[in-house]
Amino acid sequence: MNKQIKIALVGNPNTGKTSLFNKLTGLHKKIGNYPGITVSRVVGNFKLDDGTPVDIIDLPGTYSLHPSSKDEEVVLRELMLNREKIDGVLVVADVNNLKRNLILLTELQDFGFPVMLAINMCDEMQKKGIEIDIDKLQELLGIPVMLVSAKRSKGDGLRQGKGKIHQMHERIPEMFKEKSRKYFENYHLTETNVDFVKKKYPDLSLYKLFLLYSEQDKFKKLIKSDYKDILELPFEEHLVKKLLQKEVIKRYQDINSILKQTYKIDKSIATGFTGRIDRVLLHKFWGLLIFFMIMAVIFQSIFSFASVPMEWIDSFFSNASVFLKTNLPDNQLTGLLTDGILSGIAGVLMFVPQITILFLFIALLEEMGYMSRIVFLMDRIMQPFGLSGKSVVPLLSGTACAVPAIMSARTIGNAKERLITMLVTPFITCSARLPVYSIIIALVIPKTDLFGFINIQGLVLLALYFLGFFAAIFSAFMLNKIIKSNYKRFFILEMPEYKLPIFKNIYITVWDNLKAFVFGAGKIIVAFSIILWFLATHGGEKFKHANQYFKQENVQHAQQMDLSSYKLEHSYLGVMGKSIEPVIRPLGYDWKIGIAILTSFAAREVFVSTLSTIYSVGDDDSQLLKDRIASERNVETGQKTFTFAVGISLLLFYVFAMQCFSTLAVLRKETGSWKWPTLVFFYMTGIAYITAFVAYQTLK
Amino acid sequence: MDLYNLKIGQKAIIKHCNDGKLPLKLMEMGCVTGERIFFIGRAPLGTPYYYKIGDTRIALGKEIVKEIEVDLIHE
Repeated sequence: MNKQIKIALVGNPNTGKTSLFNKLTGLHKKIGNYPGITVSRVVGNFKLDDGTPVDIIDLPGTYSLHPSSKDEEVVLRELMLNREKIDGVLVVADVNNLKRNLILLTELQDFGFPVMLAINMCDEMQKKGIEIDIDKLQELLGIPVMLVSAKRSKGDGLRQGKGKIHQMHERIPEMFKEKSRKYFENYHLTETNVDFVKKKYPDLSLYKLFLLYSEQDKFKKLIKSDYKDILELPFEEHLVKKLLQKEVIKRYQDINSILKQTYKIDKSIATGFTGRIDRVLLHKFWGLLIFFMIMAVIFQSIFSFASVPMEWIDSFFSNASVFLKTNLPDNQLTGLLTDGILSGIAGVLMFVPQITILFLFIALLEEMGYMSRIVFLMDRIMQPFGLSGKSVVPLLSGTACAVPAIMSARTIGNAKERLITMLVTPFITCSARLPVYSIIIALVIPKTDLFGFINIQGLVLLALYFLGFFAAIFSAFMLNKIIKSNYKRFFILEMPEYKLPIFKNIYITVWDNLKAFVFGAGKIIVAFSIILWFLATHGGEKFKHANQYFKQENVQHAQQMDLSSYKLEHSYLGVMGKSIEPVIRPLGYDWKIGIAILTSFAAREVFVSTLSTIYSVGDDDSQLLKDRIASERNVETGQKTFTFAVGISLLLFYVFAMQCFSTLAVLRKETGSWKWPTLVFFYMTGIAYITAFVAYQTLK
Repeated sequence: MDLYNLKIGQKAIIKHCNDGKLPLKLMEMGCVTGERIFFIGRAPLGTPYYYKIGDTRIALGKEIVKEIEVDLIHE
């Protein structure tokens, strides 16, 4: 068995780094990734031809080792602290933009890692009239260099592409043989104090020392003991700035002279494909129209296309439940299996179609390069609200899940814009709200068409999305007035070339996220369903001897009430629901809905599975969940529980309320204190209560 | 002249963009003295501005565009 090697995958954004990672590792991944951008490290593995196992760490895209946003800091930190014991770095570069990509490469060489360069998208070379002298480039850079293509193109390109990835396996050991060249040593830093402490760290490269000194604020707390001598030096900010600029200019000079000997481009061949598409997609009128149409298509498909498979899943599980109940002995275990576990699983799987569609669109837009165009189109609109065009990506992926969305705000360089983006993202309608909306809309909004073709239910759903969006924008506007900031706003954004999507990447993104939802959120949901089932089927004195009490009390009550409802009311769960009833009564909710709201503070989608558990206890299982809830009546008044007013009140409550532990936890992590998540919790839930109250009282 | 004064469709050479006011990232992305710059267009609502610098397509805010000095290329 050969010794395992660990390599890091580093490169500029939009170089197809993650595509290459997917191609190298297939699905052999240890940690899943979120849609849009790689914001933290992802680890995968594969084997070299001689059987050596390789762990490969995909790091976020960055333009240099001097970070300008939180996601770029991840790269510097991973490499500097090197907890993973990285043996070498594989740099991925875009053939269209070699000059800029090599800046990062030379920095990594100076840092002291064995480095290998993979020039990606080599399939485009001919089309764009690019020629590269690989042998010469290897010689001048002093490292192994190879052309690769992460894309599968037609015909023999497929074979060729595979062959090239294969070659890469073979060549990885080479990078450890080559002696990496140092550039930085020549940029002499005699002006700084770094030179004075150099003697004390004979093992470190001068560039690593300089990085420790110039970027010390990024990991001061983490490395204090090891590098005391450097951190104790007086920090001369002005001088550091000057040196950093000098460094970039020097590197460009070095790289220009290397490329002059190795890189040729015939400008007459370049097609200007991206330019032509941009003329339409960024057009004053057409560009905006197309953008809004794309948004409309996404939301329409979530609601209409997903409804068919959702009904299949729902009816499959209610059939399975009936089947098990008729074929298994009638005891506690069967109850747990059908009413607890099975209804919990159904509550998770029901939303798989909607989430799949949503992630599919987000991955597709990102993959094709349109996401940056959205940022470009929207920046001016976001500015007055203290947000950046880059806030659009978190806000858009917030429609899937706030947790990765808040993490993706790391790409926003300006601290204030980043904070505001993170704080308002939870207002965006996430996929966990979708199940709640879907079921309530189906209950209280008529299934008719406006003008014969506009689905009213779809329209209401769209309105709820807008409501969440406006709440986010309005809150951002307020926060922008309150939060003070000394940072100046700078907008810099690379506009990548348009690409045909690589379906494997999309498939992997969608699959990773589905897995995270089904197993992550799923665990919580199933656990809650089981606890709920227990609480609903056990109780105190009145529950245990329900038969006797029921008969006694029924005589006194005028209203007829069946035994099973009576039991539920006196179970532990019923008692809990009853105790919060005074608080939620003004919003139009009874104790059953109260229980569902209580449990959905763990995660919103628990609402539906709670209702399904509550209503399936002792009820006829042959009905679909929706019909069971619809037929629910108030025991005392005999009226339907889910009236129009209650439905609207519930919808509003779920638009605004902060009901997600995971979101609060990630806010704590990303902002570094409990102050902001606490504020978000009370602010959002407060708005929810007030609007739901006003809506119910007006409509009832 | 300032990059701000360049008109859509015009080409120029970057003369000066490296005083301490602008973020380092701009230089790292290729905006360095001597590089060619082409003004592609503006966003529908006025800003940001869209350029091609060297081989990189890049969108910049007004605050940056005003700080970069260029020499117009007449063709």
